[in-house]
Amino acid sequence: MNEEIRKLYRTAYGLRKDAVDMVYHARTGHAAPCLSEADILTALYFHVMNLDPANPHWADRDRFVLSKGHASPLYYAVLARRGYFPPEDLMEYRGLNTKLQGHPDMKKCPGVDFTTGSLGNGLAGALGMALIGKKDKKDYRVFAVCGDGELDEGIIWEAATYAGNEHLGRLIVFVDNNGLQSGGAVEKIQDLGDIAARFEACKWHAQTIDGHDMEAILDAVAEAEKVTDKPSVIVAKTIKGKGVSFMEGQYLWHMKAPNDEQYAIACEELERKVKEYE
Amino acid sequence: MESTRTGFGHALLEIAQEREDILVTSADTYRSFALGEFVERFPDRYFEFGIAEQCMITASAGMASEGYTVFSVGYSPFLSMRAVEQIRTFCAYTNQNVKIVAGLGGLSGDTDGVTHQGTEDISMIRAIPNMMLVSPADSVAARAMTKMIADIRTPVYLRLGRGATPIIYDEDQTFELGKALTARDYGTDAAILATGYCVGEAMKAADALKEQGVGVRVLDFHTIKPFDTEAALKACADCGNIVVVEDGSIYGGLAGAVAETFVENGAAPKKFKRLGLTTFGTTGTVPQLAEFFGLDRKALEKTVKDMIG
Ligand SMILES: Cc1ncc(C[n+]2csc(CCOP(=O)(O)OP(=O)(O)O)c2C)c(N)n1
Ligand SMILES: [Mg+2]
Repeated sequence: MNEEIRKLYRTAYGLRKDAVDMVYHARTGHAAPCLSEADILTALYFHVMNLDPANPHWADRDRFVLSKGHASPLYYAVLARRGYFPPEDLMEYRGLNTKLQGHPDMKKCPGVDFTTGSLGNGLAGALGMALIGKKDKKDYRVFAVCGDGELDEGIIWEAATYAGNEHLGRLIVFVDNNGLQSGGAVEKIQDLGDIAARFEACKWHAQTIDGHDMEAILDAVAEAEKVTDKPSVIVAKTIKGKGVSFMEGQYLWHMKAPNDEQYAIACEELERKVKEYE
Repeated sequence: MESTRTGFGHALLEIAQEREDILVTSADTYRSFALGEFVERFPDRYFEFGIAEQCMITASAGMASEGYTVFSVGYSPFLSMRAVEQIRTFCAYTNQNVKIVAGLGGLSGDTDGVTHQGTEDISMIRAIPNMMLVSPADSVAARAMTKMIADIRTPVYLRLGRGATPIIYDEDQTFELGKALTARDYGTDAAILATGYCVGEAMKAADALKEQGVGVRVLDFHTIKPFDTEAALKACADCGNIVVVEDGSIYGGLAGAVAETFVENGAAPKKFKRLGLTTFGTTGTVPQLAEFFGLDRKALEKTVKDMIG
């Protein structure tokens, strides 16, 4: 493993620790949904995306939409560690009238490109940005991360159809395919069948990868970049709660804060992982 | 302390044991409505749509058209707004027996923030013909009113909260649909007209004001539609000073209903104050938000004192 990849893993586990800290401190929030998306967001923000944290509205920056907006703690940690605001502010999460609202707010939080939390809408927001990128002949790319349960929403497929018909090659969407949603297994609640094939039917380029393999994530983005006449979906097989043993694969940790004892275990496990990648 | 959602879930389980026409539809939300036991015991009467509120509501109307009583559970902003056309045209216009059960009504979506707060729900639903709008103040009321709405065959919006909130009524309290409940009657210096969570704050304010020699009537508008015109007009005639308090928009909300009623009936309050939202909400706990937006006991006390001052 090269040093860059090692560093990305280290960063991802550090961010997971931040997210767990925030949920523990707020006594509520979505811990497990953060842990599955951690490697994807880390790869994007610490390797892939063209950004200027000192200038969050820079016109040529790459855009990002966290369509599964409930997984905001990790996103906020990413933005803080990337320099959009001081990491000390992270403990404001869910505090009264804070910039770190329960769900990402583009008017309150520096670095957030689009307000989300009402599932399904984020992808359509990203579609709008990508349509403007095409119309105005801009080079920026638009990245989005959707939940797999989120794909139940009709608006997802309305947006996917339009994006495919418009050949939006600069739109790259990850599905955080952790197999769980709020009330249990996605397969049991509404089986979505072959997610990649569904997007392909909407004229997208589709790849399926291990969403916790940093090299695979980077390779998939590089591959998606080569496809200029179609939007890309990267179905990332992930584990909800990844990195904290008692949260892994447990839907009951969808929205729940760890108690003192659980928090201690989570910190210990995540810190050990950070060390492992030093 | 108990969530109104728990009161609802328990009542529905009781009703479902006696009536086979009771169905539940869910948008990945049954877990938040204390319906675990319902799902276990009546798996063939539970329909899980996934995160697809619009589809759930119109399909519920389809089920109701087959003669069933459908309780459709979800979150207030995603039902009263995202699925409002489905509610209006396919449940209300067609007068189907669908009960829209909306958790996270008003500010109760608390630290989740604006996306999860149904702060316009009363305004949205009030505007729709045929809809009854029920907004219980605590878990006891939620339980009682769930049973009552199960017995009528028309569409109802049941506005519930999220977290545990104080129990303000005795177990044997009775409720009548369409009739405001006099929760406090300490005098005629002022009347506070409230709904949902704010009723408890109004009762606390009335208790505190009583100690200070100020007599306040508190009316719980647990049914916002049909609106109890008589109780509102009587409060105006008896007390003169009127405060309306709600944890959502005052535009078209309970305050709107009260103001319309007064003007239309030529009732002129001495003073009239609307406490509620004129902006979007924000992230915070329910007590924090009640204080932030001036809807809590203290704000009510001050408002009444300033009025009679
Ligand atoms: C429109 C809408 N309906 C319901 C919710 C409530 N909700 C929040 S997260 C969630 C489950 C999401 O599952 P998934 O998309 O698989 O995300 P992940 O597993 O990554 O947490 C639900 C139902 C919501 N936020 N928005
Ligand atoms: Mg999922």
